[in-house]
Amino acid sequence: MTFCTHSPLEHLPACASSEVVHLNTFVPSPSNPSNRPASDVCSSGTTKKENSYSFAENLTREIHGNNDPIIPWQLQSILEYNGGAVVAMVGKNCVAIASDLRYGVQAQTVACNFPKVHKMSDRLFVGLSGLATDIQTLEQLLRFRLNLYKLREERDIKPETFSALLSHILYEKRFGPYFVEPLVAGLRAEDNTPFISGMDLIGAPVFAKDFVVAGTCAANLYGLCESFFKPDLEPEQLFEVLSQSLLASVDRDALSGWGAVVHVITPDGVTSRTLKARQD
Amino acid sequence: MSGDSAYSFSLTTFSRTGKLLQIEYALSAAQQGKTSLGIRATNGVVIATEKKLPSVLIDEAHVQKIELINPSTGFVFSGLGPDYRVLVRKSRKRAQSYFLQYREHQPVGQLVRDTAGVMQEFTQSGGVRPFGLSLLVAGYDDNGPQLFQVDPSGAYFGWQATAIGKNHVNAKNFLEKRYNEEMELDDAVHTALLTLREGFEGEMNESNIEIGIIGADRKFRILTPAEVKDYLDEAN
Repeated sequence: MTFCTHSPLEHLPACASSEVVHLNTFVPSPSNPSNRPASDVCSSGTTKKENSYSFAENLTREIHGNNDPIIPWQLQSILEYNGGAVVAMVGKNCVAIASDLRYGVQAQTVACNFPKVHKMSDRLFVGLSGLATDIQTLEQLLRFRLNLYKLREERDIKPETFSALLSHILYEKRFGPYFVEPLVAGLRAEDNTPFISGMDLIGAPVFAKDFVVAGTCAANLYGLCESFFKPDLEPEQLFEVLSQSLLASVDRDALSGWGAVVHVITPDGVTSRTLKARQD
Repeated sequence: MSGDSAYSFSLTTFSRTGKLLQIEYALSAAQQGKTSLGIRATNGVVIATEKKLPSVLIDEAHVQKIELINPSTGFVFSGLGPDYRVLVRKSRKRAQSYFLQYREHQPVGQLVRDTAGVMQEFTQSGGVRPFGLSLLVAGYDDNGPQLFQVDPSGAYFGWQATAIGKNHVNAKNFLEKRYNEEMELDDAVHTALLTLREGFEGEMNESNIEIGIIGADRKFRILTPAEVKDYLDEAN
């Protein structure tokens, strides 16, 4: 005997389960090749209270075709634990780097004052996305290594060299990594040419001519940067392009946003702006 | 073990007059070595040394006194050859570790400082003796062409032109007269040969001297006997 539940929305077809057959645990069979719930075939019956799932959940189960517990958002990697977005972009004799301001614990937003971009020297910034505790530890470690470098070598580090150093620091911890995805952005001292690079958590670098992205909405950032980016942008245009790319990206990511900060590095200096972003 | 530690004390202990005699002996070992010299030009550096061998039967092709440490730095020495190889190995390793970390060649000044640090360590550690040699370091980096001397004590100096080893006093006097600041690399090689010849016993040829140069390409290289011969012919 099969029972059908009453749909919460009466005008929709009844969605049902029986005591023996849970929803969506079906396999195609000769008698029911469509892989649709057997309850669809049965038409009527009385409500059984066994199934406490909401209509929306039942619908989701039907679409997903499995019986796993439904969690609104599932942590895929510890890199996504706190959320965040970082992006760097190259312009004409200038470079910009930006991040969101959210600090969260999984889906819960805890603070909106957590910038992920750090100034390493006058024309060199590093953006660190990933696990917040490792972001802070690595930022301190980088500052320490850079201070020693300056004392020993009596000069400012080149962006390339800094990127190599960071890469080396990360790979040293190959089998117990810092859970961060860093971006480096800087202007070379000798000719004001821009430099950007990005790397994964064990320091495999990528050197780009246009932009690099990292964080929980990296996919969104790729899409928007690819649409908006043009070569040889002036500082003001670069700021606009980068800001719009970041804002639009974080709007479609539940784990980042809640404000943003953008740094534009030019030969004359650095302009840092905090963006007035959506707080939801 | 008390027995062990009693003997692992540093050999270089201060004398009552406040001198470290082992270091002074090491310095005289260096000053008895074959003459080496270096000249810094506007667009590069040259280092040169005598390669006179105790027997005519020794194959000169297998004796090398100038060594490349990293692509933009070269060493030459006066003093004990085996000690030199230890130092070269340590410096090369240090330069490679720098490159591994920064993906950038170690600047000459840094390399000299590290090498001098090693030499200093050997004046203070237990169970070791100082290096019996002086070094000349030729390099070219973002700070331009540079020439350094490192002594067994770990002291180091930057020079425009200098000489170490036997005859270094005469050679330095000669260099003081011949050196000028506008000198280019080719002239510097020429002057190096003339200086070397001043104290040379016997005929100088392409197989009993060695020359290393680094130019604005920042690539240190040791001249082949054929190239040395060309310079020698020019100098005659």
